[in-house]
Amino acid sequence: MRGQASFGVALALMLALAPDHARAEGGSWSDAEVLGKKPAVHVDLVQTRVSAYDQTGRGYQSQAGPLQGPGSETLQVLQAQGEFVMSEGDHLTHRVWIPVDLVTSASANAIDKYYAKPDVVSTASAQNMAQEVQYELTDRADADTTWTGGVGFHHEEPFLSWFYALEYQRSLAEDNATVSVAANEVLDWFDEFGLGGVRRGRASRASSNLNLGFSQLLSPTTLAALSYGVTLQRGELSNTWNTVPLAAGGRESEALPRERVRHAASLALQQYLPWHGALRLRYRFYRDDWDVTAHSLEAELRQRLADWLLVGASYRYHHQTGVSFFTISAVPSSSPYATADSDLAGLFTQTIGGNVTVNLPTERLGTLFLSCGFDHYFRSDKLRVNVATWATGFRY
Amino acid sequence: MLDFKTKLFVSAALFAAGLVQATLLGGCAVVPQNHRAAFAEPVMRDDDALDAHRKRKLYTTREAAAGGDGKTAGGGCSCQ
Repeated sequence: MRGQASFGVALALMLALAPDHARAEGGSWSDAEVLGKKPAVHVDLVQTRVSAYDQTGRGYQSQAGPLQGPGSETLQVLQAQGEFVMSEGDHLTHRVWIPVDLVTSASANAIDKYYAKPDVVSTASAQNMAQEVQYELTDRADADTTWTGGVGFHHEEPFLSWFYALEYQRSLAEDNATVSVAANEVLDWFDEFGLGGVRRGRASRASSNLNLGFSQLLSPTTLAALSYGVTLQRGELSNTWNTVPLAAGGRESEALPRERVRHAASLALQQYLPWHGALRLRYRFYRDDWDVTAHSLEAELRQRLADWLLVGASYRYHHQTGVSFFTISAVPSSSPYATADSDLAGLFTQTIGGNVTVNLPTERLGTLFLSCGFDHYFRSDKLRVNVATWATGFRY
Repeated sequence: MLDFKTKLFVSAALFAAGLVQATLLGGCAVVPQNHRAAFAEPVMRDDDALDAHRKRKLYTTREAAAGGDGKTAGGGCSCQ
């Protein structure tokens, strides 16, 4: 009896001391009361990723070879990325992302500051470094509405770029569905080079993108997502050092239209498998007004082998038609536009990849994760890329 | 016979109309919150932005048809 009386007094005291708003809602408790007050600032994620690319191939746009081509597309890239995500209170999330690319390329180095002759024309190997920083702020305005704004700056040797983004996302039907609208703008400002590698001044381009997305839970284990994006690119759309072999012998600079409208739509399905696995399928259709039509199909299988060990395998098939003015033997009087860029040709590509991730919970620093992966990319025109990637970080 | 641009415009308009309809109807509530444990499994996570960037750059710098969906195929690349 005495024990029951003490319990009753304690319960009465707890109810009396509980915040008014908790009881005002019919006895329900807020998240903060159940889970404890969230710290004002909380680090959610710190990670780094390093990827190494080794590419071989030949393309008629490259002058790193015989005059009539094809020239070398040999390329090595060492790409380092860092990411830091921090939440502030219940509504704000900050994300800072810094990628740095170190490129050793057969045809890309375009500076004439340190070399007697710009090696866009003559030298088959030089180095170029690109660095970028992006910042995103996400505001969870209410339980269903999220706004994200982003800015970024990119710098490489002959190239400056600015990036702006704004996204609105709304959850529907008790989080069963999500609708999103995103707008992105990229402004590029870069050196322009003539056929002989001589700097001709500065050029610019702008890329404006509008993206619509919709996702829906189809079952307790199935998620479907649909997206459509339209992109308008205007300005100098060539890198200005690509060249085109002429039918009469010799070469001329690549000439591209100054505007391009691109459409991409995709459907993705994600299915949880009862043996702690997951299957992702994605189909993407693409079409633009340079007469490129493309179909891409991706599949990824992930499997949890232990609480701390995940493995994955992926495959991607991509087919595209070439732009209408692609040629490796141009006749200048026949068309104002011409390109021999192998990326703009009709081709199909395949990518086979695999990855392993280890998650190790720690007492004070959240979960330490280590990941490594490998991708082999190969194209119908014999271009090959091997990619090795490593990531490590803490998820708090 | 509709030309290609008109077809694309009509397709985009229909897609946008579908999104508006989904918004107005509030989507379909088919899975209650206490039946979503599968989506919390690590194998269902799809939030590695750095890996996504790596893959996107692999494709946008080598395929004329890559990009244009969510992130623009611009922003500078010395490896084209």
